[in-house]
Amino acid sequence: MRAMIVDERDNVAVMVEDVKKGGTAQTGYEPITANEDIRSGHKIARKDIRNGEMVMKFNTAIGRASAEIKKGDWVHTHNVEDITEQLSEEYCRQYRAKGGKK
Amino acid sequence: MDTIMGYKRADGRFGIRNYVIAISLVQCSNSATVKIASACDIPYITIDTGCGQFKDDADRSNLGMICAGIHPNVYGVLLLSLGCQWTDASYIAKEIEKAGKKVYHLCIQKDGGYKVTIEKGIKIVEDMKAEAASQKKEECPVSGLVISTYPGGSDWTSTLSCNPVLGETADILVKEKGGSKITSCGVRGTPGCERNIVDYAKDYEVGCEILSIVEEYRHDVFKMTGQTIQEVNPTPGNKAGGITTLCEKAIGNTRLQGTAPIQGVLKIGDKVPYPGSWFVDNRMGGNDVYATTSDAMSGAHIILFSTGRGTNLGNAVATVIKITGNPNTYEKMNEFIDYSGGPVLMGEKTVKEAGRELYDLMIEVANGKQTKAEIIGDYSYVTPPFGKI
Repeated sequence: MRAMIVDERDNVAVMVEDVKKGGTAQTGYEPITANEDIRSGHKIARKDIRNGEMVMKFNTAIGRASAEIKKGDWVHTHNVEDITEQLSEEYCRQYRAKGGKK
Repeated sequence: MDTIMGYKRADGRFGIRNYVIAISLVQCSNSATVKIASACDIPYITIDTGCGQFKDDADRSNLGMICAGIHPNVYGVLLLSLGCQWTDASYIAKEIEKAGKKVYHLCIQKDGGYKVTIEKGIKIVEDMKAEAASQKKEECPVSGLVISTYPGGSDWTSTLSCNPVLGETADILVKEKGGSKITSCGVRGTPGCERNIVDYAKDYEVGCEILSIVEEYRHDVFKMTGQTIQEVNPTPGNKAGGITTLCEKAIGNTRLQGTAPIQGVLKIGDKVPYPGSWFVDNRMGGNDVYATTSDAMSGAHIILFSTGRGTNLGNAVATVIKITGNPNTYEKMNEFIDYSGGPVLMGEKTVKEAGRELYDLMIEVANGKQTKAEIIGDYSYVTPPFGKI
């Protein structure tokens, strides 16, 4: 079933079609076997993501894994912590400290 | 130099339409305004106040009306009032006249009452329409086009096959053709994706200005509601659709902004000072009609509106092109959607190819092709109220 990868450095792909447990997500890169049913619009892990590791989409951290995630797992609110405020504050602090220099 | 055929204006800008519009200056003249506009088939703007307003509120309402009247897509304006309202009709008329537009004002109390005012209004509008129809189009540079990109009613396809396409089109206009792009939903949309906006600021000063505005907004939200943005966003609908975190949603929306350096921050209603990409300080930009109206208030000729679930929304003065990345939405709501990024989702087209196609469609619209919003006649316009969140 079709899946899309936003940036090739991401550790998740987004299902374009529903995939059933045991089915294959075709990403245009490597195929991934789904460990559970995953609906279209939802994310599937492209590789193992350790508890506490960043979930990467758009080549940017979008959240922190709150459990051990295996390649092929459904990635969503049950195993990802929303740390947006923390990430935003960190970015603002770094930007101001560097005086805008990258 | 790339050109389109447009209507040159006295203030140096050009329009891609030659609308005659009717504007009601107070709630009491709304119904007469609607009757005149419907009889003449023209866009109209009504108001939910115009009386008993505090100064900041009144100033914002006035600004909304003036910006509509002086918009480059407008040929002429009929103002309607009751006569005893707070809104100063002669001030509004004068400001619109200064931009070289035709302006007429009818006052129900002074001009013969309700029915007579409507009859007079219809005559005035029909005469203005005839004049507008006889104005010739001239060659105008594409670099004078101002567009906005806006993410409305996102679904899971928006970030994959819609927003990146709009970003590509915006880049073609701004980076390749020297045109302008504004963003009026930036303040509401930036929490969670500061990096994706501020990294594109042309320099440190602009970057800090944007960060300060967003921090102030975050603080105001918490002060006024007792909740952080993260607590209420993503919505249950977003989560059911697959969006897990606030920054995932926010970053997805930024994919339509393009990569041109952000030149600076505009206040609501400011015109674009020179071509480039601009960030509008509109704190009420999370609402579709407020954000698109704010875009129009800064003179956007065209609004590229990304919609996952489909919306009929148009604008009274700016031309709205509706794009979806969802093939199902495009099929079911073809009535008010102009372009589909569905082939990108299906792997049949690249984002670059779709972005170029959308740019070509945009130029056709600039040259006169009607958008679906114009065909169905949705000419919404609601000035964002003065407020902090």
